[in-house]
Amino acid sequence: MTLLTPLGLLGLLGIAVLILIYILRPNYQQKFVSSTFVWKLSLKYKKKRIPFSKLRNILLFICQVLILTACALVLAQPNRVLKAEVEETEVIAIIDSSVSMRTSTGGKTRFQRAINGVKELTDGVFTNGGFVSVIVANEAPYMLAYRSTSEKTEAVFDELDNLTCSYGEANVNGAIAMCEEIIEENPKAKIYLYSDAEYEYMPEEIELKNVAVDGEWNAAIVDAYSEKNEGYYEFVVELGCYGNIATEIDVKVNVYEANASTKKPQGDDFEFVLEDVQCDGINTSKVLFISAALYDPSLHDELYDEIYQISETERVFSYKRVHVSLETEQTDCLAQDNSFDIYNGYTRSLRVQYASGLPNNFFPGILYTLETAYQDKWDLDIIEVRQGAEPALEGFDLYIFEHVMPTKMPSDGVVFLVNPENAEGIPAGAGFRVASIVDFRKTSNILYSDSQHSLMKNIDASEITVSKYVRIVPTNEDEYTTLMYYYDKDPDKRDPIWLVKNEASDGVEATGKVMIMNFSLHYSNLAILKEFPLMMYNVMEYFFPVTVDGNSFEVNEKVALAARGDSLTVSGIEAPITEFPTNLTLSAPGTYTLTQTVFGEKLEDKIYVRIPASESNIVAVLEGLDDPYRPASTEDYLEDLLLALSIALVALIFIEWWLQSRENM
Amino acid sequence: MKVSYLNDRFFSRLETLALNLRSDLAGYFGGKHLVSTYGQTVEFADYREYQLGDDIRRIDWNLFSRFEKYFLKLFTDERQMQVQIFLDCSGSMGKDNPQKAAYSVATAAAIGFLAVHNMDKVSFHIMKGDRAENPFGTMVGKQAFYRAIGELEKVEFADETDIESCVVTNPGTSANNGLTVIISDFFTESNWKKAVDYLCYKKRQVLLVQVLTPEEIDPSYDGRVTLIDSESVDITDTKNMKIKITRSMQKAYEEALNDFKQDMKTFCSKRGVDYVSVSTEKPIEKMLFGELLKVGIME
Repeated sequence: MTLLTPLGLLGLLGIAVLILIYILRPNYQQKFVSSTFVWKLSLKYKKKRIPFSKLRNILLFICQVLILTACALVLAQPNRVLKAEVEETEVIAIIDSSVSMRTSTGGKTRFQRAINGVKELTDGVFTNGGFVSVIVANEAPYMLAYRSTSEKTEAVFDELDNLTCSYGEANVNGAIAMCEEIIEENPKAKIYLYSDAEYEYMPEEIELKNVAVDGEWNAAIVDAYSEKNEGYYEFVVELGCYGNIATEIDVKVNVYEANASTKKPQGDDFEFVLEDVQCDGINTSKVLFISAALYDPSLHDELYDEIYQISETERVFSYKRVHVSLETEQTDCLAQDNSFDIYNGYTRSLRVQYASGLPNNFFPGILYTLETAYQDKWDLDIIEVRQGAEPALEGFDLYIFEHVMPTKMPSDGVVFLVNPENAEGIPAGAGFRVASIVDFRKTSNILYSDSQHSLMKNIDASEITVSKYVRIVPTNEDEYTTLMYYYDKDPDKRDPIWLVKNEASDGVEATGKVMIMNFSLHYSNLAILKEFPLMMYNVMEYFFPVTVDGNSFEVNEKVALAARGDSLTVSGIEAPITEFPTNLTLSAPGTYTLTQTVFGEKLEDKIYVRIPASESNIVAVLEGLDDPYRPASTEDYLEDLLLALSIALVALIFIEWWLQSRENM
Repeated sequence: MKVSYLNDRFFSRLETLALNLRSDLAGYFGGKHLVSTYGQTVEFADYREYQLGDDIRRIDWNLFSRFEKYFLKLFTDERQMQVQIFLDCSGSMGKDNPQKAAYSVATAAAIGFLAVHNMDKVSFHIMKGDRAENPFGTMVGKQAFYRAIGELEKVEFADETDIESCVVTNPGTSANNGLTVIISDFFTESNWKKAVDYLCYKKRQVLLVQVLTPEEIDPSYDGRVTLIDSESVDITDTKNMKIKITRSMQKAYEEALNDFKQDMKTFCSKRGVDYVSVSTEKPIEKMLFGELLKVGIME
């Protein structure tokens, strides 16, 4: 506590006056009475009743002393020191940890120069006995050292030595927000930002230490992708060239395992090199690698800066990997954006078998519609089993058995059993038995569903009517999930109409992925409702999800993952992923392999993670930074205690009054 | 200023009253109090059979004619009682409060008047220190009484009184022959209870009259005071006391006084002694016609 007017303490002299008053109190006045006999008797009563009278007198005196003290303190204007003013030097160093800080010149990266700068700064401040805080500004800024003093010199230097630059962007404003905690403690703290960028607006409180050096330049593949045009792939490469330099770049595209077929499963490897692409250090270029037969100058010349025509023999209709790289006369300063990989240049095959005792157009129709809808993701191979022919029990990803049941449950795909009316024909391992046939004759009854299952997405069960169905009883009640019921007012009488189970399958035992729809399309309006295509679409999305949508992502970008198998392993990440769908964030550039096992078969997908495109521009001028909040003056350090003292004073006066009133009782 | 209640009007109002004493008292011949023994009055009391030695003139011949047995006709007896009035003349009874003194004297005079009015013998005992003086002797008749009253009003109230010693050592206290009245505030360290026990032992009818002033009943002063006892010798006397009178102290005083009075009442009722506590605030007529009638000492 500090007193703004210490002279106010002179009010404490009042205590001396109070003591004087107590000493000089008027003497006892004489009173003549006929007898003091009863008074003496009453003393015993008095003592018996109020033994605390002496204590009360003491309390009264203490109370009066406290009141006078409080009055004196009020005059002295007491204030509580919330934070003492820091006399020592204090600095906050923010280190930009964006990937552009990896730009290297003369064997040293910008990041290393920043670290050295911070060390130098820290050393100087520690010598003067000050405080140093270090904040690393990457995607999620964090405090490396908080108000460290010279005692922690070694620890701080070790932390700095072990620090590595990230491959993502830097959230400098987030780091500045973290500074506010320190500024709150010491408004005089000086902020230094070690960065390689210029900012449109730099707050006065922050001193920029630009670690970029003259002559740095960067040639980068900002983006690369393939597009299918009339069955053949064309490759687009966006080039960036930054820095004060004019040079020429060779762009090389290597296509691996192109045009693989049964005859030549490994396919061919091609290399396309576009030489002498002009780089002026300011503008970006867009380069197209296209089949010569498809090249249209009137169309393509306007859209692309440079065009490479692929010969007839090297046209690519499928590939496993495309590697794009740059070659320059001089080595540029940032290596992380000089190459790029494109994957998934082919669509994986999905084999579907449709076998029916009463063939109709509904199932084949919807299957061929799905084939078109999923052509970018899946190559649907639909096999219709002719009436009377024996359906295959292996080699397909999806088996549809309508009216006719398989002799044994397939083990290598999803099985969809429609209208299993023949009780004796149910294969072993199907997990249910047929109880009876329910026939409403000419009346139809609606269905009902309260399921939130993915297979019921956008399906309104009450629209579907059924006039005849097979009452089935699952062998194990927990094995199947009921998606739809025949509707009855009594919940106990609601028979399951559509059931599903989705369990892990090893490709050897009977499949654990089964759907049962126990009515015929002939006895229902389902086939003419929108619910039927929606149902089949949901089946595709549920049982055959695409592992990852896209093939290239930026560092720290969320990658949405799904899997057909029970788990998915990602190269570089130890723990397998078991919950789907999920989001994955990858913090380093490169190729990642996603591996899953489906029906005992190992499936691999690859994605490429690149550094953020904006970070390739190593001479960028970024948007302005936020002003950190800084307390206006040292007055904010004090908290006026007048209110608290006033409350105490009022309370003491009240207590004193109460004690006084008790004294005359 | 001298205060006096005694005048012709006061005494004339008392003429309608009489002392109501116990019938088992012996007394002396010649009074007006009916007693339980048989005597020569005209008031019939009882019959009894004739015995040898009885005066044959008292045989009821009417009864003899009916029963052919000799019966004597008995009459009640009337006796003269001795009324002793002990007046506490200590300082507390009137040194600083003439009204209390006058009230006490008036009470003594009223009881004395009733006694002489009923042809009883009366004596005033002035209690001072440890002796009770009887300056007027035993009086029979109003002339002597009025003379004594004139002197009684001049009595000085001062010093302390030892009631026990005064009563016990009084030589004129006979047994079973009358009423003893002690008029005091009983604010004394002496053991007045022994005095009462002594009188009870003497088979005397006893009346205690406690005279208190309104200030003694409900003290109106407060704050820091030195209470100077009227019986104290000087300011350093232990009877004086320094005290801070608060509301709780006043309440304690009230409780102490009530307990003291209750103790007296209990003590008296156990011994068949009449006890009256009066305030000088109350008109003396009310005290006489109210309190004393209520306890039955008057009729």
